[in-house]
Amino acid sequence: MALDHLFSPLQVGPVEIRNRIFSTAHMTVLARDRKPTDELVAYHETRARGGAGLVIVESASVHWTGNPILIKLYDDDCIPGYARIAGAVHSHGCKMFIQMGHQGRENIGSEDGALPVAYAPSVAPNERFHVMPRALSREMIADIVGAYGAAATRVRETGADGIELSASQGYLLSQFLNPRVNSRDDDYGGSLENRLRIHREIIAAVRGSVGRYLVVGMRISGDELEHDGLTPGESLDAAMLLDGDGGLDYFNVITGSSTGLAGSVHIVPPMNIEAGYGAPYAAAIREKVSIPIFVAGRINQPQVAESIVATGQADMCGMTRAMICDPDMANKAREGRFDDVRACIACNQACIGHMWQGFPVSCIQNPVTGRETQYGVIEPAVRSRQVMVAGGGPGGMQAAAVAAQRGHHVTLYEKEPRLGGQALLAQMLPGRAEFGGIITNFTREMELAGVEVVRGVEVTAALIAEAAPDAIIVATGASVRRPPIEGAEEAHVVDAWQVIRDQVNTGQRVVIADWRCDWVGMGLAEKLARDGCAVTLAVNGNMAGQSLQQYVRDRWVGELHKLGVKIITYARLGAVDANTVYFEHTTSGQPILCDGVDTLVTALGHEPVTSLEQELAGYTGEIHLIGDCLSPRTAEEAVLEGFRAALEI
Amino acid sequence: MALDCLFTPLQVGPVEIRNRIFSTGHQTVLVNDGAPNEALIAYQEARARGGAGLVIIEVAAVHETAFFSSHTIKGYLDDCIPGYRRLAEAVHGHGCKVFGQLFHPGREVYGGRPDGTRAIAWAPSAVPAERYGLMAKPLPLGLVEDLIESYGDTAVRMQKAGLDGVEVVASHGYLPAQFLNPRVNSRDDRYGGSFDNRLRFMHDVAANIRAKVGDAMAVGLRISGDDMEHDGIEPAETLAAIEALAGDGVFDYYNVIAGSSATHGGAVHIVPSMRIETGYMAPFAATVKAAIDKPATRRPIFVAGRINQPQIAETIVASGQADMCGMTRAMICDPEMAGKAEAGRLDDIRACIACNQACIGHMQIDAPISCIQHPETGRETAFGARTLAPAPKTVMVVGGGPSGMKAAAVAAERGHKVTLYERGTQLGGQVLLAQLLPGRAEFGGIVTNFLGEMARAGATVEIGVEVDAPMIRHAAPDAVVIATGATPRWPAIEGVGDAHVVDAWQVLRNEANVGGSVVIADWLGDWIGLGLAEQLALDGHRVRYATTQRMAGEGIQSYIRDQTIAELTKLGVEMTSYARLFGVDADTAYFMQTTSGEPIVMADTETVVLALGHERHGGLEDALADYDGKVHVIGDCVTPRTVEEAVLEGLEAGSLI
Repeated sequence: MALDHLFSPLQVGPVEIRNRIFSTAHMTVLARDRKPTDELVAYHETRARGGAGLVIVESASVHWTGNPILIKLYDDDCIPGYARIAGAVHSHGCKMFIQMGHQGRENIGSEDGALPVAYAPSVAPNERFHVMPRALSREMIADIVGAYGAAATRVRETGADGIELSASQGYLLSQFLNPRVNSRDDDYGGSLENRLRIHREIIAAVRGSVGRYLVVGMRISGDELEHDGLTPGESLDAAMLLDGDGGLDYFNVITGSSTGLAGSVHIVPPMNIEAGYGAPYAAAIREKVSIPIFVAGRINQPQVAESIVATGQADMCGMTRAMICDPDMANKAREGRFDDVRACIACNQACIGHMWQGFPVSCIQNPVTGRETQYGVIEPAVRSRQVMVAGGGPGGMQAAAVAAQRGHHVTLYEKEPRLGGQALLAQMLPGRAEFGGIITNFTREMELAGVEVVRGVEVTAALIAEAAPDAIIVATGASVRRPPIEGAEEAHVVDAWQVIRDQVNTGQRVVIADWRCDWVGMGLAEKLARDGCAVTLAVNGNMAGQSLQQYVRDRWVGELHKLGVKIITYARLGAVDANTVYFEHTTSGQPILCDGVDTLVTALGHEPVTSLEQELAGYTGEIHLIGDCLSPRTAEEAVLEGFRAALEI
Repeated sequence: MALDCLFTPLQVGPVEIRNRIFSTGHQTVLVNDGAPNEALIAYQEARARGGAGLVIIEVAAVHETAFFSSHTIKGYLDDCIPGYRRLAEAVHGHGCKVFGQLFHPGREVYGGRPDGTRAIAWAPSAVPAERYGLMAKPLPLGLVEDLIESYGDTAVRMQKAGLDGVEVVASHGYLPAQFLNPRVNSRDDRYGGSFDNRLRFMHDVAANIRAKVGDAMAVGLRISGDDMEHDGIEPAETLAAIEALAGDGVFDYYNVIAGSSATHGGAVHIVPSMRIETGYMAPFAATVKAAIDKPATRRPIFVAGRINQPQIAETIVASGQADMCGMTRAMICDPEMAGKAEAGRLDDIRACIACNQACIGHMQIDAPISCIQHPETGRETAFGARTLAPAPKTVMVVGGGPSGMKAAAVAAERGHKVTLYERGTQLGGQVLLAQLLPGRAEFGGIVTNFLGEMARAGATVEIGVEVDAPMIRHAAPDAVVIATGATPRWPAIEGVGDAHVVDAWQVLRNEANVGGSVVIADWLGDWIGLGLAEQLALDGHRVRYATTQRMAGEGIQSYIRDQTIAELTKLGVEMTSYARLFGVDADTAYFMQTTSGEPIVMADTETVVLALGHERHGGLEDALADYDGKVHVIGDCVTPRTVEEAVLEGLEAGSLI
C-alpha cells in the first residue's frame, strides 16, 4: 500500500509540516516541579527522530485557577525546558506545538491532598470527579483571557512553532460553549455568540502576542458523547463561526468528554472501539470550514491514517499511542516497512493507566517509552553469547528479541505449538482480539533480530546440558490457579482458561468467581452472556474491573449492564454444592448465596510455573527469571523484565 | 482526673521513657527519596515538643525486596543514616525518645514502583494476597537467610544514627506474620510446618538484631493480637508466639494492635474508624501482659487502637492492661496532647474523631499526612508556629461552621479582635448533621474542639445573628471572613411534582416523613448517602442506594467505606453503582447507567431521598461584590468540598489577616 497522502507535507498557518502524522497533547507524568524535564525532552525527541511530523506537548496550565500540578505556563520558569524540547524536536525536522489548557470544573489537581477550588462558567457539577465548581466572575474571565495572551508570549520565546487551545472534552472552553453547563446571564452566557465570546477573546489575546508568526489552533470535540455534553451540531456551529473569524489555523477534532464515565472513555478509547472511529466527526467539520482539520481516535496504523487523509476526512492524523508503542512508526511507514511497525493494541494499561496512578507514561509492549534517558540507546553486546530462552510468552519473546538485537545468538523454546502465552487467551475474549497483536509484533521483532524459534519443545535440564548455552532466560509463565474449594466434587466447577479455550461446556446459569478484578472475569462474563448464559460476576474487590484502567473498565461495565450480567462485589468464594455457590462478604463476613447455579467458573489468578527453575536449582551457569514464572503479575512486568534481562546478558 | 500513671516514666530495655504516650509507626508520605527529610523531622519534632514520650518512626524497608511504596524509607541503604541522625537529634532535643521500624511487607506490596510496574510480592509461600490482588512468590531459603541478616544490618544503621530503639513489624499480616500464619505459610523447610518452625523467622530476626546492636538499644516487636479476618492469625496464636519469644528474652517490649493488611475486613483495623470503640485492644494487651508476667519474661506491653484521649490511656495504664499507649491519631490531630494532659488542661485537647480522611486517607491518595481538624499537621514547615499580628485588627467572621470557627480561632490567637456570627442557634454547620448519622456521633467533636479553641483565643461568638451587607458596611471591620457554607443541591428532576422527593438534610433533621420503600440517589459517594442508607434501614425501611460512582462510598477513605458497606450488607441495603437519577413518578425512580446509557428502573419507590451534593450559600459574598474593605471567602461558600478544605482555608485566612 502506497502512503502518498500521509507523507505529503501540509501547510498549517505559517508552518509546513513534513507529513500528516502527529502526536496529540497527552499527559506523560514526566514533568517535575511544573516544568519540562530531560525525560520529557528525550520522550518527545524520540518521536521526532522516529519521523513524526509534529508533536504537541501536553496541556499546560495558563492561569492559577486551572490545574495546580500541570506545567506552569503562567511562569517564565517553564521557558528553558520547553526551549530544549523545541531544539531537540526541530533537529529531527519535526515541528512542535504547546497545548494551553484550563480544566474548569474538571480540575482535581491537588498538591497536598486538599481539593482545589474548581472554577467554571456556572455552578454545574461534574459527574466523574464529583466536583462542584465555583462560578467565574467577569474580572476572573478577563484575567484568564489576559493570561492566555501572556502565556502565548512565553510560547513564542520557547521557539515552539505553534499553540493549541484546548476547547475539547468538557474542559473550560467547552463548558462555556455548552448551554447545559453554562447558565450565565451576562454576556458570556445565553446566545451562541455569548457562549463563544471567551473563545474569541482568547484567540484575539493569543494573536495579539504571537501575530501570525506562530500557528494557533484549537482542539474541539466533534461529539462529547456524554449525556449533557456538546452535540455534533453545537460543535459544528461554533467551529464555523470561529473559522469565519479567521483567527485559527486549524481545528483538532476528537470525541468525548472528561465530565462523565461514558464520555471519558473517548479520551483514550480502548480496543473495543473501532480503529479510526473519530474520522467521520472530523469530516463533518472539515466539510464546513476552510482551515486544516486534525483528527485523533484509535488511528493505530499508518494504513488507517493514509485512508483518512486520502478520503479527505482529515488533513493530519493524531497517532499518539501508535508512537508511544512504536516511536519509529512514521519512518517505518514511510519506508514501506508496515510489518515492522509495532502496532498499539489500545490496552491503555501503561500509558493512560500509569497517568491515573501518578506514574510516568510507558507501554506494555515498549518498556523504553518513558525511560528514554535510561534505555534510549541499546548498546550492542561486548561479545556475542549463546542465549536460551525458555518460554514464548510476551516476556520471553521480548527478552529474545532484545538479546538478539544486541548481537547474541538466541534460541527461544516454546513447549506449545504456538507462541504467545497468556496473550493467546486474552485475545479470545469479546472485544479483546487486538490483544493478540502483541504476539504478531514480538514474533516479527524476533524474526528481524534473527532469533531462532523452536516450537513444541519444553526446555529441560537435559536440553540445557546438551545445548550448553552461556545464559538461560527462564520465562515459563504461569498456570491457572485452582485452590481447593469445599464441595467442588459435587458441583460443576471449571476454570477461566478452560472456558476461554472452549474445553468445557458451561451450564445455562453461571457464576464467575473473580479474584483479580481484571480482564479475565469481565471478559468471561461478556463471553458467556453473549452465549446466552445467565451470568453473575462475583468479584473480590470493591468493584468489577477494579484492576483495569478506568476507561477500559467503565465501558466494559456498561456492556455487561446491557447484557444483564449481575455483579456482586466484596465476595470471597467459600464453597459450592450441586446448585449453589457460597461467598463470604469480605468485610461483614456474612454469607452471600447464589442459588440455582449450573456452573461455577473460577478466575482466581495464576500460579507460577516453576518446574524448570526447580530443576535448575544446582545449576551454576547464568540464569535470569522473568515474568509470571517469577511471580504472576501482568504482561507489562513480563515484558519489562524480559527487556532488562536481555540488557544484562 | 489525675493522670498519675500516664506520666510515670517507664524503663524499656536500656531506655527510660518519660511518660506512657507514644506515636506508633505510621506512613506520612512526607518521605520522597528513601530517607528521613526536613518535612518528616519537622512533623516528628512537633510531637516530641508537644510532650510525647516516644515516637516510633514509620517503616523502613530492611532489604531491596521489601518494596512497599515509593515513599518508604530505604533502611537497607546507608543513605538513610544522616536523615535519621537529624531526626533523632531534633526529637531528643525535647526529651522524647525515638525508635525506628524494621519492615518487610512480604506479599502485602501496597503501591507500584516509581515506574508504574508492580514489585514482586515475596512471601513464605505462594498464597495470594486478597486485598491487593497479588500472587506471592515463595522466598528461597537463601533469601530468607539474607533477610534475617538485613534486619540486623538495618538496626545497626539506626543505631549509628542515634535512635534509641528498633521495632520489628510483625503485625498486620506483614512478612514475619506471614511466616507465623499456618494458613499462609506452607513451607516444608525449617521455616514452615510446626509452630516452632513458623516462629523461627521472628526468633532468628530478634537474635540477629540483638547480636548486632548489643544491649544498648531497645528492641521490640509489633504484632497483631487478632488479624480480624477469615484466614488471619488468631489471638491464641499471637499469644503463643509472644510466650515463646518471651522465653528467648530478646525483645524488650511487645506492641500489640489488631488487624491485617490482607483483606478488606482485616484492614479496617489498621486505622480503626469512629465506629469502633475506643481502647478496644486493651483487653488483649492485658492478656499478653498476664501471660508473660514472670520475673524472667516480664516485659512492657505497648498497645494501640482508638486510644484518642488521655483519660482512656490513663485507665489502660492504671488498670495494668498495658504499659504504653499508642496515641498516633490523637497527636496527628493535636501534637500538644501529651503536654496539655500533663498540665491538666484536658478540655484544651483537640480530640481526634477517627474520621480517617486526611491521615490514612491522604496516604491512600499519595498525599502527605494531615488532619481535617488541624491542617497544620504535615505542613509544619509552612504553619509551624503561630505568629502574632503586627497590629491587632477587628475581624468579623460570618458563619460558624468548621471553616469560620477555625478562621476565628487562628485570627484571635494572632492577637486580632474577632467576632464570629452564626445565624443558626448552634455552631457547627454541616457537622451538626454529620454527627446525627449512625456511628458518626463523634464527628460532632469538631464543634466541641473549635468552640474551645475560639474561647481560649478570646474570639467573641454571636449566635442567632444573620449578617448582611449593610451590617458589614456599618461595622466597617478591618477584615471580613465569609464562611457562610452551603445548602443541599436540588437539580431539576423530571416528574418531581408527582413523587415524594426529599433531600438528605430534611431526613437528617427529621423534617420529612419517609415512606417504607426508599431510594437514595447519591452523587458524591460520601458519608451522607451511606449514612442515610444505614439510618433508614435501621429504622425499618426497605432501602435502595444508587450512586453515580463506581462503588458505594467511593468518595470516602477505604476503611470507613468497607466497614460501612459491611453494615449496609447486614441490613440488607441494595446498592447500585454507575447510576444517574433522571426522573421520578409516583412510585418509581428512574436512573440511567452512566456508561451504557441504559435505564435502571426502581419500581415500588415511595420516597426518593436526594444526596446530590451542595450549592454554595453565596448571598453575602455576592452582596459585597463592590465592597472595598478586605474580604476573605473560605470553605463551602467558595465552592462546596469537604470539611478538610474548609478548615484549611480557615487556617489560611486566619494566618493572612
